[in-house]
Amino acid sequence: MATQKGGYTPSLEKFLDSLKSRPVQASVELLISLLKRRQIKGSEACATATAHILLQVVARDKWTNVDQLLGRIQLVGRKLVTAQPHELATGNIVRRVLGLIRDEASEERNDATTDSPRPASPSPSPSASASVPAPSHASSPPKPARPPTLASIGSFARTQSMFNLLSDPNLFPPTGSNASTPGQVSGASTPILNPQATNVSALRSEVIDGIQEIMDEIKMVDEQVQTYADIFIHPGDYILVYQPSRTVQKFLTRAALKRKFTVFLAIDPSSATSSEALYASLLKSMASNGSSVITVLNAGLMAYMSRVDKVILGARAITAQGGVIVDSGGAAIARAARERRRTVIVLGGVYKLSPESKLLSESRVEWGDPSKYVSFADGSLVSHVRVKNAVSEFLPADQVDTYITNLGAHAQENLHTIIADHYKEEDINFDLYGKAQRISGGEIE
Amino acid sequence: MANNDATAAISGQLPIRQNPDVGSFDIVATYHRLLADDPELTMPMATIEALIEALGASSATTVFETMKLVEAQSDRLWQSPLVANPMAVRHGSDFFKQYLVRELRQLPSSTGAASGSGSRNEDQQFEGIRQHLLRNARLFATRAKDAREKIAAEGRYLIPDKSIILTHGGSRVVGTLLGRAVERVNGDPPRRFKVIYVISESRQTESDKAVAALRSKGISVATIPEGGVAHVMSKVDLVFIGAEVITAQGGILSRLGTYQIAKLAKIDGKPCYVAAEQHKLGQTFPVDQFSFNCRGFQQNSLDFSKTTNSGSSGAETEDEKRAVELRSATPLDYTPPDLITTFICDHGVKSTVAMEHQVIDMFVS
Repeated sequence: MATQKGGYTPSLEKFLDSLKSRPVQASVELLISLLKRRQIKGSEACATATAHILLQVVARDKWTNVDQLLGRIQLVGRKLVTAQPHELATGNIVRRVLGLIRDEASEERNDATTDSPRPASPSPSPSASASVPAPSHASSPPKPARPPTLASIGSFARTQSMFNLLSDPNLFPPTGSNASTPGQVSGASTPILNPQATNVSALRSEVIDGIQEIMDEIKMVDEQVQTYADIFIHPGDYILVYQPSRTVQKFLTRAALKRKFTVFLAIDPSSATSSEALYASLLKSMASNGSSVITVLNAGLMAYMSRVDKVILGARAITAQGGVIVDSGGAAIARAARERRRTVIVLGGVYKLSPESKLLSESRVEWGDPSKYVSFADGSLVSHVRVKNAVSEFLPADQVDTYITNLGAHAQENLHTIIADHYKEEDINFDLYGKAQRISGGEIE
Repeated sequence: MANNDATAAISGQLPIRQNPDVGSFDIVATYHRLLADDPELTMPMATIEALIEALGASSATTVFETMKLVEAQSDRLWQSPLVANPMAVRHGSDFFKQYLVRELRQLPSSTGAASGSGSRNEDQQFEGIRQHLLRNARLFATRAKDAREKIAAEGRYLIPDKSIILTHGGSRVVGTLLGRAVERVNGDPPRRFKVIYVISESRQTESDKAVAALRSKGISVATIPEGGVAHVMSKVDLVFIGAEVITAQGGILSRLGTYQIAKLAKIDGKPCYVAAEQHKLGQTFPVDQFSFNCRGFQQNSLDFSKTTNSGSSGAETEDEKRAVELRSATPLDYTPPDLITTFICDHGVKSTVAMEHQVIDMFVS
């Protein structure tokens, strides 16, 4: 089966179609090679592919306990991230899934403790990290609606780690790494094998549901982001967009339904020829609603900046500190806007918000195919001149005013609370990148 | 202003022990002994250790008595004229008190029975917490030192290849960070960087020691005087500074000179990272350089005078004079959060606002 993959141009759709008919390991390998060859690219495609492959791992791989599953996801996740470290969305989804598994596992465990008699513990008070909701659960029916999620006990979880400094080593596992072993709580009174077996199938379906939710979230991002369009775009506004992504295009289209405004469509000169087709639907829907679109070339943007009210950029990824990875050329526009004190708005789904702090600034710029500047036929030039073409570049946090995600508009200051709500600390600290970080570093494993 | 005689007198007279007596225990001396014994210990951590020793020396058994004891001892410590940085002491003791309160709140029985037997039970369980603290005092110090290693592990990723790092002061965290960054850790190759170290003339020995320590690790170090920071800033890629105290707004209190370095880095658009453990965090709100909003914390940094040898420091009592003298010998300044790019903490790289939220989470929730 794997032999036919050279026969067609692989794409995300074809990859997803072929998932079911292929063993999990082969799918993982195929995705790695697709990512490496940039045949799946862009944060949405990468996030979707990652979510699907992790779903396959959870659903079809053999695992008998949570630690095994976590280890498996971490291994696959690391391979995917190493294959294409520039796509931060891949790592984000891996971490989301890891967090999801931890959540579901602790939920299972709480159920287990309420069902079975509390094991005789040598310590006077039960471990705080595991049984925060335990006292209330003991009296409630066996299947409570849902234990408090990370968000509701967020501040507790966040500060608990700080007080670990003074915690009792016998009571709390300091890093929480042992916290996910379900064997600890099953107690001596019940046989270990039975609850494990039921746990696994229940956990499997719970985690699969969770991953489905993540996939839906990725799919819904554009629709959810565009609901904020008429709040941010006012009648008569002059909006500058740069190589609008689908998210940005939908945002503008939605605003055009209610408002009349003018869009400056800035396009990189080298890709100007193909732009007509790319933005045709945007142009059409804008025109039909009475808003106008003016195409401008990237070169003279500062001249337009005095007319522009807002600059809207689509994010490839957003870092925890508020920096944004944008299409190359976007940073110069943001800078020009900053010079004129114009508002810079960044659009992107929450799944693009990366908790990764180990990114080096040089690894944030992605270098790509330089053939659009120099023809390879031009031998004398190619052999004597080194041509570099940045595909994406890094926009520092201080040049962005507002971030609009599917959860709403955010200031740079509260991005970290979104991260705290979506990722677990142990997963944030997990080094997905490994050696891929270093330019000199080779492949992992 | 509880001074030693007054509290001793009260505790001797009243039948209810407001300040449970701790015998001949002297928290200020203990604090200084701990700091002297272990040069790796931070000031908030030494405070916590000293308070644990106070717990051990006292006969307090009930929750109420213990809380009173901790309260009284920490007040005595941070108001002592012999303590160089009362703010660090306050952060340490606040952290400790908050820990006790949280532990109490988590006791399972505290929600249920409100009868007398319930509170007796609570006291017994509290005794468990007390025993744990007394038993594990050294462990906490070790953990606090491990935090430095964690910071070093986080911080190495912020060092770009072939970069030049500016630093100053004797921060042990920054020293560890730079030292670890030139090592190979878990297959991650060593970072290639050079260091510009800002020599402080008033603390020549400390500066020399820090530079020697860096050079012994194989790092090329250039030294410049404090006046040369702006001059070299164009060559610098990033700035690492340490902190004695992280304030509630996400600013820091650190060696005199930190503020100026941070400001110059900001003007040149260079990232300025603060490497500090999270236990230095606390609820203090310095307003500006001259009002740290901490009672009795005054450094005589401005001494206008027409004669060359001035002696008047404005302090009235002997204690105040000693305090001002001591604090002027190790002057600090306040670096506001807007000059700090991010914090490198033992729980990851955090923005200044994240630190602010952490204070709120810690003390309000």
